[in-house]
Amino acid sequence: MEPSTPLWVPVLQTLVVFAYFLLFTALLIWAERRVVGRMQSRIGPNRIGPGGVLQTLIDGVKMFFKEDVTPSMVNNPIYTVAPLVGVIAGFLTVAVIPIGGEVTLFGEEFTLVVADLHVGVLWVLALSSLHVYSTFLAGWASNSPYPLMGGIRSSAQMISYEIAQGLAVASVFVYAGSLRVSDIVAAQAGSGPIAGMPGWYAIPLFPAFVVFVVGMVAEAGRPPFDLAEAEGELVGGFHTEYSGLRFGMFMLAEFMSVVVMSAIVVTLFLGGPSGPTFGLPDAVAWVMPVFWFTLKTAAFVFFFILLRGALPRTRYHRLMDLGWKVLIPVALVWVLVTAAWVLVSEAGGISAATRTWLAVGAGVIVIALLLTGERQTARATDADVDAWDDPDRDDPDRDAKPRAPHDEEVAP
Amino acid sequence: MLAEYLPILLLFLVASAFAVGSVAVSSLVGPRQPNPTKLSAYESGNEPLADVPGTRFSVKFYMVAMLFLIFDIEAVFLYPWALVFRELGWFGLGQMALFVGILGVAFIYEIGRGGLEWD
Amino acid sequence: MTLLAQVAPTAGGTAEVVVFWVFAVIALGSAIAVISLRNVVHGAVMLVLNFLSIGGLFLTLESAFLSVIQVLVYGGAIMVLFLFVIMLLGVDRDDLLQADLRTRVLAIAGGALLAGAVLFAFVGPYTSEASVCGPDAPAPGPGEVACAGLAEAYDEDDGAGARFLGRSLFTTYTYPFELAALLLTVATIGAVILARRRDLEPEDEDLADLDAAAADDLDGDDLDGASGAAAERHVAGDGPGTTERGG
Repeated sequence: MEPSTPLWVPVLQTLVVFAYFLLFTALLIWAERRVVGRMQSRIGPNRIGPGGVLQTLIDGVKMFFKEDVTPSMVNNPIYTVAPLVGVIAGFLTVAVIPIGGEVTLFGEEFTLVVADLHVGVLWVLALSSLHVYSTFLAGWASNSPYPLMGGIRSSAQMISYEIAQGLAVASVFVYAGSLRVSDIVAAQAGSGPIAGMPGWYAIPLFPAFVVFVVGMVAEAGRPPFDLAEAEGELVGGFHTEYSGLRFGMFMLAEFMSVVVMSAIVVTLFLGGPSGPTFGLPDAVAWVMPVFWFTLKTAAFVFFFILLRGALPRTRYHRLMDLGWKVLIPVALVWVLVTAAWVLVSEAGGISAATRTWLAVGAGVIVIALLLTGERQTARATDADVDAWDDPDRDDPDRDAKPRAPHDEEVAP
Repeated sequence: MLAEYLPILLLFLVASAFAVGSVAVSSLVGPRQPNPTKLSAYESGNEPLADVPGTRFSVKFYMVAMLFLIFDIEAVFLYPWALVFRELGWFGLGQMALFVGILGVAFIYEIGRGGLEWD
Repeated sequence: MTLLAQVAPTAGGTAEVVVFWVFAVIALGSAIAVISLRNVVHGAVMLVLNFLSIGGLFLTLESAFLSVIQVLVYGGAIMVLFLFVIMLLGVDRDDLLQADLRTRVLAIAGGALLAGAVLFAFVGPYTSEASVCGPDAPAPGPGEVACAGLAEAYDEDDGAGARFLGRSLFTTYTYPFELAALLLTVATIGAVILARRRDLEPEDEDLADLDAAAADDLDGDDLDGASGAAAERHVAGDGPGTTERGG
């Protein structure tokens, strides 16, 4: 930032980004209820505003007037702070995500990002690593069995998948050679080495992309990895004892992390706000990056919603196995393979297009092998479970426990 | 350097004001009718029995946290390496492969000993 | 602290001074809180705050990469491990913090030794300008500090010092780097061996853990997080592990 820039420029940038993500989250909650409603042959909220779009706003206002119970056994300073930590950390995570390009307004240059830090992506990782405290401390401070178990369980889940994501990001750094978000976005802009395809890192780094996406679903605690609030076992998980607006803060943090995670994956792997501007005049050309970014992020948010509607909740041991024994080794090996491949191709003068094609081929093969392995493991596990005289027979939640996804039929 | 972080401070203030302000407003306008049942721990309608503080958890969670720490450090070493590996060439890649390999021994050992078995 | 105080305020304008003092006060205050709070989890939260403010101090020293790594590793990973250990031992209660005389004496002796070492580092021969800044540092002008932050060590677009760090780490410090891997491996294997004594054997997993909890050994297994129903049984039960350790 130049010293001559007036203070209101960063203030306005900050407020715009803050409002953008808050609004996006509100729309996500509405969209999720509508889409999941459709998937379950219901209608979903459709009364407030056109198509029910103001439903979230009304629900939010309603929450202000709800009783905010503080149970007598809680450990109070921490009980109150925990939900705030989640929301604040969630908002701070988006600080380095550019939601658009540059805008000239009132004679001042704006960049639609809060701060393009040199440490860039590491800021995102550091802040999302602090998110675990919200979950853990809420569970602990509630001083009650279900929240405690839910809190510990989901903390373990979050840290496991955080590693997978952190290692997947390393291969982006290998390709981009920079930590800075603007460099990473710039490196993906325009058409890529393969003619007719964009230069997105999702293409040459396909396994890292898949690891990151699976990791983000688990990190956000969303179905099918929403073990934190397995209703049949843990009531509401870590936020069982919360009510009123403090519960609302957890809801906000959870839904916001869906938007934030989508925004991050779009930025790192799908080119962020870059896209064709169709030769628009300069005065309105700034709209296009915002449009592309919103479109890509919305597509990922929609993917999250579809997952929730389509997949049953997984079991805890399979969740941990997937994170530790599949995603982390794949991400780790892929970093080294990518680095070796970059060195080989730069020394050997292989053309960028050939190089990318080969990387794509290797990536697809890796993912295909993983899927096959996963299905075999699932079959073996099911066989074990069947052979073991149905261990869930005393479990009142046996119907809530999903079987392996490959033979699961989606309930109508 | 610090000027770069000024907007972050602003965002922190805005987000904190939003979060704290909402909860504060809600506690002002919301009703407050406590009763002993409402204030007790939620145990699906049963009388709360548990004395939760001091409850001890399975060591498996500790094993996960330990492995998490190891891999976090590994990832943190990967980042500066990823930025300069082009300059370092094959020597740098060899170093990192050795590093990952040594930690891989720990990882395989833990898996082999059943440290990550949950079921 | 004195060193930081000497370097940081002169490094930039008043903003640096303000930021430095804010983080310094938070760091010291939370550090005192860590050792004075009775509740272990409260202490751990204060330690998180302490680590975060030390991250902030790295920032005033123009080392943004180290700052973020401080948050990521210390704030995000090491403290999570601490909290899990607290949950593993079940010491998140006020009345468990009764150290006996021998422990106290050892703690005081160890603390004094550490404090002495830190003091020696600051007043001893290691804080001369040449030793802090390296022999090649240019002589400071009037009113300047010889080496104010790391900004001169790397160029502006370096990813906040990450490339500089990478170059040194993977050329000059190759052996310490690989030794770090060995150290981490040994630590993991040690943890597995200690933990495995009883808990990780499959037959303990299901029905045996009520007995195991009653046995009250340090591998306590009151809550089996892999199974909500089983865990509820233990928590709701009389929980031997929760009552026997009070005295």
